[in-house]
Amino acid sequence: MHESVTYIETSIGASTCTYRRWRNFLNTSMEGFLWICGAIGLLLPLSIFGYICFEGVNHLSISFITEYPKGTPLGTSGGIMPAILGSFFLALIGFILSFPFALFGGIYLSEYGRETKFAHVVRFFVECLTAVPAIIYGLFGYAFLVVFLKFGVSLIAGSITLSLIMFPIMLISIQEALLSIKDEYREAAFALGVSKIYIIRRVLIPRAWPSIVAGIVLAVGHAIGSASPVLFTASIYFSKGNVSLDQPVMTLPTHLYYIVSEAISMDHGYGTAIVLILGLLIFNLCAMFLRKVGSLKQ
Amino acid sequence: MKLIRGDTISKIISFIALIVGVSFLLLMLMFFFKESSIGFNFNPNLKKFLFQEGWSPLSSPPSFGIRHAIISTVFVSGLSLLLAIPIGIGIGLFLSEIAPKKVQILIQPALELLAGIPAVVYGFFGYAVFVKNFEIWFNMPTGECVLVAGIVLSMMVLPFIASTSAEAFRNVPWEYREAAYSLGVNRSYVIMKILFRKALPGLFAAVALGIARALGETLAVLMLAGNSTEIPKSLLDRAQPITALLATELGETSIGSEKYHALYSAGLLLMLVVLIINISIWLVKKRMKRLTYA
Amino acid sequence: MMIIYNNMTFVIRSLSIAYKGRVVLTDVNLNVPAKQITAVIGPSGCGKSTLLRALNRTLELVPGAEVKSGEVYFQGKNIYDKDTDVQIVRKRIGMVMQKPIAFPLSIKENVLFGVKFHKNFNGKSKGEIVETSLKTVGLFDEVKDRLNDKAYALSLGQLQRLCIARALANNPEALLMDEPCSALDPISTGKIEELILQLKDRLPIFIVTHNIAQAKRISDYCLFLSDGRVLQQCNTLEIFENPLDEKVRDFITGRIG
Repeated sequence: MHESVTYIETSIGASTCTYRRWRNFLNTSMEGFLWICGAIGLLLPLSIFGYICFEGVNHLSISFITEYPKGTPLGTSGGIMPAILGSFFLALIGFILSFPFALFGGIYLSEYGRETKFAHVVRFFVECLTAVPAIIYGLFGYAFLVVFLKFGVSLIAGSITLSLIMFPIMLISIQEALLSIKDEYREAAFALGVSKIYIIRRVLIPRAWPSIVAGIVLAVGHAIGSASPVLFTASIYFSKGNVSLDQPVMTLPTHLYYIVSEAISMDHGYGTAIVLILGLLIFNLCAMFLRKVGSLKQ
Repeated sequence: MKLIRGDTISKIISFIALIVGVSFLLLMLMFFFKESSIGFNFNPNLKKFLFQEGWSPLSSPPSFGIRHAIISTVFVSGLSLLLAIPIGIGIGLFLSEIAPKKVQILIQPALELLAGIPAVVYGFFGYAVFVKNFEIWFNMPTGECVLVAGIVLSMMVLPFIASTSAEAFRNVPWEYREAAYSLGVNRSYVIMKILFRKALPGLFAAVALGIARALGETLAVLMLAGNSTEIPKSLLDRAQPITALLATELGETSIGSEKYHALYSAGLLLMLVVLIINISIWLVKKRMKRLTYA
Repeated sequence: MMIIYNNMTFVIRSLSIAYKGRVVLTDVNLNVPAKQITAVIGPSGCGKSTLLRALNRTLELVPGAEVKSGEVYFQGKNIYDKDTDVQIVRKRIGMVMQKPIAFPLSIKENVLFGVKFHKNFNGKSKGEIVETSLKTVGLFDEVKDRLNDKAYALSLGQLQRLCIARALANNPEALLMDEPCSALDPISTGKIEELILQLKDRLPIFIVTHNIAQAKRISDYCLFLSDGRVLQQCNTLEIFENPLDEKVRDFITGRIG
């Protein structure tokens, strides 16, 4: 015992001490680096967001939201009402087109075709497609919808393109939402002798509702913000704000892009950027509210 | 009897919905192959299309090689990943190993905010903040360049890498840390020797996801890289990544022309690369599942 | 006081521990001489593992857990003093967990995990350290041909012995074991018990166990905890012959588990 005590005392001798100090130095530097990373993770989003809000808030006014673009070149004065309308209808129609397919498709994958080879293949295929860049969807929309089906650059072509982007995202989140419900709920309901569709409608969908809404928000938010799929399928530099399925529309993201690339007006750029960001934020808040309502019902 | 019939009908309806949705996506893939296979035929020498020829649609004879775009994509996304991977994994480690609960609750939504900002707003932000200042700092005629595009792109992929790697580290069971710390080692040793190894598949997914995002991002690089068909030679040179090439040229292309098919070939290339990345993530995950249950 | 400390390896004085503000262990006092196996027994949730973790300061890894008051002297020095180096405390007081954990390294690197950090070679080569540590736990012959293979391929019993070898390679002066056999089959359990008895000559051992028969087989001294309090502490034989409290009697006769 005493032997081992003496040994310990010598083992923390000078050489080990320098070594231990080196170890501690490495550890402190690493922790320092991680704290810096954490600070970046917190401050970078806030500063980008804050910068745009700070610069943009001066250009935000009622007339900016309710008027047409004016001035020469167009967009130097006036507002962006047609772009707001265009983005809204593109996302809305795209959502209406894709949601039923995503919902029923998700139900099939989770409730009817669970653990089948078919479901696995479909799931893998769909997962791959969520990773495909939005510009690829834009290219397809252009070649297939605009040119091949002769839709022309129009609201409907853009909506279908966006619905293709939204479909895989919603399908996966709906499937996951349903899969995450424990089997006990299904069994308990089955024990009462009701049909599967009744369980899906009265038990599973209400329970999965918050997650389903989260998936919808993700998909629709993504669609509202992306310019590359609508650049060639639906967007136009200027429109009067009349919404018709076979006519092109202005959208917020493409409007911002045109303004910057043609170097028209930085002020209007800030204004458009803040409308886009705040719009998405409001949309997210509404969805949070919807989630709450959905979960209160249970 | 009625119950069963209702069930069959709902089953059929949902099956049809799935088939319709998925077949649209299949159609997209097939259409892409059709539009671009002609392009590949136009360039019977694939090597020439990818690596040798320049993009000069106006010269005679016109040439439609995408060498400059491939190099630009590698440059811009490489730079962005060089910045985003260490910081993103650092944030992931910070969130899972160091951050107090209260700090975690702050950073998580901040990263979600970063991920939710549309690409075009990033492009605008980069234009307003970096491009303008680069013109002054580096005395450039126009501030768009590989460096600006890379920096802004790194901000865009950062939240994805950060949250995926945080999840990867959090999935390492607590017992590993306890067993390691009980031997008297310090945090950096545990991170380097154990956490990185245990979280490797998740980190691989984080990085691969980041690469796929960076390769496919369009609007920000379109607005910030400068859209030059020259091959970039330095960080301050202008460039035109594949996505920017597609977005710039498609609007001015007559349907069915050689240029049109060349563009779809470039798109197909991009899509194939992203799909390969995705498949490899899937394979790694599958392999790891087998190992952990072994 | 110093005289007592010098004869004892561990001296625990009125140790109290709280978890998220709630006291989970009150007023533990204990003197542990060298070469003694001390068993900590009691119903589950009584604070056995908490006590054990407090002895080499791994308790502070658990968020919310803290030592409220009291001292733990190890070879005459309070391990909760401000100037003690927690890394050295944990190196000198080894620990083996309930669930055997294979680090994602080779068998050899698993054994050398702590040694490499502490540069604690004592003039021996890495190979020698691996060999002696693995021989001590009786694992060397079973794995000598695959020292560079990943450790997770080992069986649970082998893995637990590897964990003990990993702790021993650090050359600790005491060993804490938290239900080391609870995940193992009877044969592996027998091997580990044999090993613990062998190690007794080298260093004092603390073992938390829910298995009363095991405590009876291997321990010299017993500490019975219930609801965070020590109900009885005495030589092992005595606790079985003469349980002072009704709860202790019920527990060791198997009426409550």
